[in-house]
Amino acid sequence: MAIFRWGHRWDPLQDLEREVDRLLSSVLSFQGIRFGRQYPPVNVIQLELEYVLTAELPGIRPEDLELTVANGVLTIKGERVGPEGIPDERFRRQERPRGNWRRSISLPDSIEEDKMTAEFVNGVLKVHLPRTPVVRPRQIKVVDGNA
Amino acid sequence: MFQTVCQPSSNACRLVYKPSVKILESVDGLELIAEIPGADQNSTDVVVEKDTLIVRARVTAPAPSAESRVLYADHRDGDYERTFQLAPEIDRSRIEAHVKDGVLRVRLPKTQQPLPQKVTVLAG
Repeated sequence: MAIFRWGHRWDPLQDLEREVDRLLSSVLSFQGIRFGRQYPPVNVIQLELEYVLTAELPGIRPEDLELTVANGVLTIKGERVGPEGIPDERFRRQERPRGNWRRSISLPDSIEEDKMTAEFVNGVLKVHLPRTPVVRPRQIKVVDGNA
Repeated sequence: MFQTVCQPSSNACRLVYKPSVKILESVDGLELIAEIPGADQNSTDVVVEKDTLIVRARVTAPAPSAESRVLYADHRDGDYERTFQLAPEIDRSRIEAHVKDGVLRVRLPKTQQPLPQKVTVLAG
């Protein structure tokens, strides 16, 4: 199970790596999910009231996506399929990998799991993870018991 | 590959990615399938200029605010652009494009070749 750690910041070399990876995969006619780089690519943003996770999933139908939450782990899984009934020899160029994929993301403790929602627009999955209200410490006044 | 494009007037810079594509060939023509997650019909342009096909798609990213903080990022938001050379047998006037769920499909029909005609040879 692949789980990333919260707080892992964006590495500016990742885009370069991804593009080199993509270039090599097309040269080598590599089929299948890209090795060494998790699919789908996700971003996590912390907002005032919620965390928002976005995942790029172009061409996936919402009904073919499966999202589950268990033991503080969000799992997204599905399958990338090519056009039906078209033999591989008809492809002049094939840069989009195919196959089953699954990605798991550990959630922080401060999430209201039962209020999570998800939407899928233009090939981008967006999961809203509401943050639990911060419990502020309450000052308790000590009264003099002898008075 | 990607590049950074800046607007001189506003100092705003955007990443521009080359979208991944599939190209299928049949007897009738070619079909180009490009991944442009985050783009829709209104933000996608397909332009034919002489022998060149240009695909451009803009992605609207949420503006960063004081309350927002990136905790994890596999990718950065950016637009898409890629240029393809069109073969002479592609019929420019019948090119069609559709976009759905972040996938652009461009149909590139081949020109219909005239059937060979038999010429009657007359005596004389």
